[in-house]
Amino acid sequence: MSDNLMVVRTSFIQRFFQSIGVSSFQALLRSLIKSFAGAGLGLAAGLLVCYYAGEPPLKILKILYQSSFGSGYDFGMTLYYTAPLILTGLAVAIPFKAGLFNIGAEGQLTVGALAAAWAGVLGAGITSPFLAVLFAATFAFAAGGIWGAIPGFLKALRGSHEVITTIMLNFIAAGMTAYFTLYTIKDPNSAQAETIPVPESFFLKPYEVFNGAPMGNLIWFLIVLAILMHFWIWNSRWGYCLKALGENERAAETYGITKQRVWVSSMFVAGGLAGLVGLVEILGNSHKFKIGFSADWGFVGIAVALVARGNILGVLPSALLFGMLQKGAGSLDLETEKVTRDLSYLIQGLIILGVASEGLWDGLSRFLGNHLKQRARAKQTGGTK
Amino acid sequence: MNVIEFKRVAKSFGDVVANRDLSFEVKAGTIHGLIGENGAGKSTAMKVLFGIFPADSGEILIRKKPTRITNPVQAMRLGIGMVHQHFMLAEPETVLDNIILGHEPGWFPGLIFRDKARKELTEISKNYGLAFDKWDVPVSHLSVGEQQRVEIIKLLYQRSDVLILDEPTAVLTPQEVKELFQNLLRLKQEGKTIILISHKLKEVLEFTDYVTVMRRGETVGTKVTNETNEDELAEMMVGRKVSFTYQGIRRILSDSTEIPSILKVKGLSFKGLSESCVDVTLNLRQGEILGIGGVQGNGQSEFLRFLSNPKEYFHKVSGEYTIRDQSVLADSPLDLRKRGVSLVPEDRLAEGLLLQQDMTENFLLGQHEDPRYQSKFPGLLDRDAARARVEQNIKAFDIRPPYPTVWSGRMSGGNQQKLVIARALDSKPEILFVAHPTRGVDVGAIELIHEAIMNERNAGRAIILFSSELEELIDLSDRIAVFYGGRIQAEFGRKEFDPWKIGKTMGGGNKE
Amino acid sequence: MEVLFDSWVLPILRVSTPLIFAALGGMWCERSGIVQIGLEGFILVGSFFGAVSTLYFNNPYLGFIIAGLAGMALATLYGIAVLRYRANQIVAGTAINLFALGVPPFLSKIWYDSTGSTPPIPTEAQFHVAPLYLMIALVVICHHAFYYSKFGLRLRFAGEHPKALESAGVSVGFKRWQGVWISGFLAGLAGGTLSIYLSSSFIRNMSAGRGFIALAAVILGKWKPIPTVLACLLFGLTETIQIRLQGVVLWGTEPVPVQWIQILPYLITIVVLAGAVGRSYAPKGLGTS
Repeated sequence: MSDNLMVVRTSFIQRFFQSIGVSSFQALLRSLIKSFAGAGLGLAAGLLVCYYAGEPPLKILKILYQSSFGSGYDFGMTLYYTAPLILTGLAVAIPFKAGLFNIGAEGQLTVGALAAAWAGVLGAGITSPFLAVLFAATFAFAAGGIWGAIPGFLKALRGSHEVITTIMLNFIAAGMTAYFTLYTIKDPNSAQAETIPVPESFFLKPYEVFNGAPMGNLIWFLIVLAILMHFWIWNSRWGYCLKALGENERAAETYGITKQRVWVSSMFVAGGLAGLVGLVEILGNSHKFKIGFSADWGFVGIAVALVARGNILGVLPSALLFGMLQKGAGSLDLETEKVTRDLSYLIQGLIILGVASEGLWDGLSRFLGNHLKQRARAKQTGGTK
Repeated sequence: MNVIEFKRVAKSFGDVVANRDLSFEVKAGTIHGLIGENGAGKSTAMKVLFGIFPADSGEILIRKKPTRITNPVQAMRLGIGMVHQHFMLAEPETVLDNIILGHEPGWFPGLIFRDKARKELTEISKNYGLAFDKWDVPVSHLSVGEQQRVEIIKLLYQRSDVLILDEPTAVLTPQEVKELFQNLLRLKQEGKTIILISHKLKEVLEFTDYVTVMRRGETVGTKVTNETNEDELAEMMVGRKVSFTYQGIRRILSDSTEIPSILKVKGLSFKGLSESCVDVTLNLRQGEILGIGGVQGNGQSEFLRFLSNPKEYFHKVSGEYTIRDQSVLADSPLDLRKRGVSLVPEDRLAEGLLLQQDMTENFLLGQHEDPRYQSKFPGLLDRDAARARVEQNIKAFDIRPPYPTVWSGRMSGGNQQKLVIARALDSKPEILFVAHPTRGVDVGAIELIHEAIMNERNAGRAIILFSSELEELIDLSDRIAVFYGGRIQAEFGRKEFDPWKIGKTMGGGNKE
Repeated sequence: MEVLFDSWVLPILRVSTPLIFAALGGMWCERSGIVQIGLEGFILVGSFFGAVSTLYFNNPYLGFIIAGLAGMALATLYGIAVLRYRANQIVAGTAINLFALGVPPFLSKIWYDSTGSTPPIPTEAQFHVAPLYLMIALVVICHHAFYYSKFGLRLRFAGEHPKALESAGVSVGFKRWQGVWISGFLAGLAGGTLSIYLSSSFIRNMSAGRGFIALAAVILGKWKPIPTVLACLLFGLTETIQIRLQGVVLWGTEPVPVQWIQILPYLITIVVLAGAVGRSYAPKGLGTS
């Protein structure tokens, strides 16, 4: 067969565009504009609110910036906030490719984190740091994955809508993990509601340059993980089934893609990824499970995936943006009179609304798109279309 | 008096012309038939009248007054009502609520006087002899025929004088059809005007007073029903010149009985979602095209879905389905693929394409497990190989625009269909199910598609061709089986092909 | 008898009141065809503004109405995103919830220099029993409006068969706006009952998942008013049990863990959803716009 095939070479750029799901440079630009304009509008509205509080918007921006990048410690903390968001962003973006809404990343990450802490208790004898981390990661991934797969199963078997079941499972996860924390593996030496600390072999060492901010090699692992996920979804048969089902359920079924299998598997992977937040928090930061440790990362993950426009690679910059916002907002308490860290909730909500409001950007992107097209046409005639 | 007059009305959607030139008049107090083949523009014409799509040009006169109807509400105020093919009824709500919606007796925003409405409806039902009184039953509990009657009562309640019925008999049993027409005749007696859209000659001839024939977006002419006959109308509908006749090679089948059947269906019965199949028995031999015809809604669609995905029907089906004498009742589409079955689905947009993916991605759909397109690394796809095949097919089928990176959603209907067919043929299938291969496809592409199908036949493949175009079936098929009411009403060998005879069986008549 | 009333019936009715307000609001909205995940946010904002305005005017009734209006204002933001600019309803709902988390702390810092709670409301400005009566009245009104009014009929069709409503000459978009507003107003009132009636100030994250429980009640109640109210009462019962069982030893030596009772409503919802109630009961046009 292959001997009479023409040799087709695709340029790297073309391949890249294909893999992120845009047909051309203009299309990429249009979708970037939509994201940026939405995020910008949300941020602007948030700053306007600060103006009402009597704080000049520019000052807020400066605080946000300085607090995110001002020092090694600050940057390390920014990355510490970014890391869970990469994972939850992926946990939302991957099922979304298959047409599923994963509102349950919050519950999945809670269960995963508890599993990581539990792994520390069970594997107290493991002395090799590598094995210890692998052990905890497997636990976290499996626990989060199973938790994530439940809504997939319920949808596949009973047709229960995943949005409702994932929301409910978030609460169930919170209740269950609280129970285990308080009754099963509670730290007897602590007055707080927290589990027995994991042994030292489980610790992920932070970088010195970050001056005590809890982030080290893990961030590279996550970046590579996101790139691998992107590569895997774009190149694999599984990723193909995901995309086909997400885009046209009937066509996918007609051509032999079993939707039930895709639902369960994609939700398992998503839940597992969210569960890996346990690595960031338990092994990297606090070394024990504390009730309510998450800064709503599961929900902000929806925003991360949305600003990334469902794109796996786009999750990285998008997570950094929200990580900056979460870290930066922390300094508002100290540096301003009237604005608190809770501003980040306002801004995050507004950014999501801004990016989600498709209709808002149609006019703008059409205008800019036409403008670009005309310029391209002026330069040279021809091309695709 | 003319209630409605169309004067040179035209309507197009983008580049597609649905109605080129509509000119006809409807007299008050008559039943007026509007007939034409599928895609002749009947429904669009009526939707223009009902204000769903405003006309591009031309003039519509309502009771002699030029009127521009821009929305259904305005049409309703003018006394024009329509029973759509898909009923506008909310299933969990009661009949009464469905009927009075938007015209509830009572004060806004206060309570509804349901008793008053019930009395009025009973009156209407009695006056028009409709024999209906299930006002407080949810619509979902009614049969299709009863739901249709509810739609008619709704129009009467809204005081419509002109009732448009879009293919009202498509979904009814023969018994219900009879009742429907009794009701319509009674409505006519009471002074209502009825416009009946249909492509069934028999019922039009039997029940209408006048009949307007449409062909390819134009009105061909209006006849007094009593002064015309089936042949004349059929000729007007189809037109003298046949638009596409296959001119190429047709390899003569040796003696068809000598060739063993590769696919057999025996005594197949099941109840599907909207249609059912009853005791269907078919054989398919290599090197032949078996045409499946029939009016839409008589079981063909469901039969095709069964053929291409028997696993989905596994629990509700009785009968046999074998390929090369092996039962395939439990096969999934991918299993069938491995047996050399390939599919061109009925509705390429809904079932065949990923509109926001490029040609290569679409080409891989269904072929994603084909060994030719697997990379050396386990689990990965080899898109370069797929892309090379797409490039070849672009040349072979003259697909435009000729770039594998074009989104299928940005291609014309004809080119989309070529892509779907190229994909179906890519695995060199031995059995091919092709449904409506030329629906919504331009003339140039039709020829090419027909040639491709014929080439496959001549190369010895076994093909089942589903089509609602009788001409297409007659052109390509070696045999034609006609579905009616979920059964095979008749089967014709090539020597027996006769459009009128086949058409008769499609309407439920017997072969002889 | 009296003991039963005081220790069970009244507490159940009391804790169910905010759920019933919010769930009935959510029911109207979902029946008009718009998914309403944002109830939680409306409740939170409602309870904050309810407390603030009660403190300001020293009048719980005024505070209660302002709580409703605050929820309605947030619902308007949701409506603009969803109905005007075609935002995805689930995403926008999540955004509303995040946004609402930030509103009370942001404003309380400015107004009271606190991080997300209000000063206590003086006893004479608190509700004592009024929201309970209002709730009962609301149930009756909703039931009647739902089944016996033009408004209810048309709103139901907006969610069930929007095309039929459109072809009957009624604007589907406006009906959906009304659904969104009602959900905002009633969920805001639910918030008001939390801060002015069930407690005496606003505290951080006061809604504590009640918006989602209300949503669950709508689903369990198959999007119908009386069953929805019954589902709310069921959840109210579990909450009452949880309060009453705190520290009580039922078996063994340990008290019953509250966590298990806390997750009961959510568990019930999933089990019922996976069991008998499928999607078949949801309005057909839900989530399509």
